[in-house]
Amino acid sequence: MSWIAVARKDFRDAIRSRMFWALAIVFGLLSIGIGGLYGHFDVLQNTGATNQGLFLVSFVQSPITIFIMFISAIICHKSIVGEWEQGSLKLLLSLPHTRGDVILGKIVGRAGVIAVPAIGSLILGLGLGAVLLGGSVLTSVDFLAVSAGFLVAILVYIALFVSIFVGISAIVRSSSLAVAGSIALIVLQFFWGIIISLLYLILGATFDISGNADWMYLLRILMPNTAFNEVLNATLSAITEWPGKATASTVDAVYASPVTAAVVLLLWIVLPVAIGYWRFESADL
Amino acid sequence: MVAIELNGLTKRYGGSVTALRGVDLRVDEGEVFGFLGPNGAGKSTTINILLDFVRPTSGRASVLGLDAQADSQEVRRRTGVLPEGYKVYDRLTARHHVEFVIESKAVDDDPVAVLERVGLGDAIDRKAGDFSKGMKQRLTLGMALVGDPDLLILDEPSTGLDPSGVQDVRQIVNEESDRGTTVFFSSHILSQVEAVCDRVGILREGELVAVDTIDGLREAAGTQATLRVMVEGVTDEAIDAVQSLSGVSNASFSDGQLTASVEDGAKMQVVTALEDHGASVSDFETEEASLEELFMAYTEGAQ
Repeated sequence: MSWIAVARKDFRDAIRSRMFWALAIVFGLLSIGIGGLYGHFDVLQNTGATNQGLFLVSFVQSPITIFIMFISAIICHKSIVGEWEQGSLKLLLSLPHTRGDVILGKIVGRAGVIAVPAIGSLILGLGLGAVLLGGSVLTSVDFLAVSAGFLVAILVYIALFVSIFVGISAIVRSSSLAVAGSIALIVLQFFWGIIISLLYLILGATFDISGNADWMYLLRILMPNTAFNEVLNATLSAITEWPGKATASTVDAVYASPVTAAVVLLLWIVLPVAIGYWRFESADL
Repeated sequence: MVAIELNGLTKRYGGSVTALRGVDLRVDEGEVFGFLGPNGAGKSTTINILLDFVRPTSGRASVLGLDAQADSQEVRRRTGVLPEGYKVYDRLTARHHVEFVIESKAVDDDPVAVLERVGLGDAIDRKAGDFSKGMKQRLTLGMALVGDPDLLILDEPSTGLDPSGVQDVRQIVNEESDRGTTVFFSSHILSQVEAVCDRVGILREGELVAVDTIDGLREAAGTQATLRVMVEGVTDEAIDAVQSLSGVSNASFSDGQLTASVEDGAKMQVVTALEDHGASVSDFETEEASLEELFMAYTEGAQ
């Protein structure tokens, strides 16, 4: 259980950095700003408190998740390889920690560093938006359920990207490679939709695939971001009138299911870390 | 009991660089062992293998009766380490650092007592990033002492320390040794290990070229002592006569002082030879080979 000591040390170290406070302030401004603006302009007046509340959450979701992805990359890409290069890893590993403890401790510590300001400012932002919307939004059962579900989902999302970027940090042998790998993954996610469309066009010009492109679903949900959104939309729309819909519902194939997306999500959480562990475990420091 | 045992320890990096070539070594429990060698001789590689930072290409290392690889976590639980080329956590205070070790080793030491022992009593709540190199070294030494380890591994502990810091390290090593702790420390400066070590091992280009007490090494190295004779009325013949004695070399004379390298037992012959040639000797002194010269003889000379 010595990863707890590593996580606590890492958290302690990180909350003393200027970066952390800058992060907390930007998180707060972003969340309160979006929630406040949405509540103030109230574009969906008269559609009912439940609907207003759900759209408030979905409005906050997109900028917050993208911001978390960037922040995770910035905070985590050097977590292992940086300490390795600088020599603080020797201090860490001269103590009775296994290399697995170090990786797990880093993931938990850094996830905590992101989760504390993220959850705090989301509660403030959603609360402010709901109060500004007025009426019974703040007491709408659906709004509260979606908000709670969303906060849990955000924790999963943080775990997802923290473990990906810590994993990358354990796989590579230099900080510059960690930067390159992290940026590559982020860029890939932004252009993933375009890449798939191009692929579809090229394949469509070569083979006759019209009307038979269900397998595209698998490609679409292959990125961590898209897999997460698929699972989030499927879950929230199953319990409420959440505006986002899982794309699986539009595809008629056995594998086109949020369960597949959940498996992809799980693989993204586990695989980079597993490969990182395997590389790091066998490395000469 | 054996504290450290190395059998045929070999380490090659990337197939081409050989850091260690079949090192055999045994350090007994309670011993203070100095591990010497110039930079790049393989000292840090050896220590890195003891801590499982680096895996040997062949051979075996055991620490406190445990396998250095398979039981590394237990080895490090019972060992205090001052690593080489480490970096402290700039934003954390000295207290935080020691608390981290206490928590990691699941012991209940008092951070204040630990820091006072290494002379950081007045810097307990200061950030380690603001520390001088010497203070960082003291902090890391303090971290190594947490949990009353059975073995202390100190890699170049004097780095960055002023003379009083070096003195403090020496005192702490002696205190720990008195408590029965085995101390294994490396240095490229021989005089630093002389005062504290029971035995030393000298590493050169990945090979252990000598393991002995300082006195034993001195004898084995056979390095000559320097004899200085205050003398008047020295003629060239007198100098030639001294030079021709067996066990005497490099005889020279200037400013009323004759200097020569002599082996044990030859110095009285020098004095006698001078007086036989009409010179009058007023005083003489011998200076044994300095440890540095001895060290040079081992690390540079063709053994």
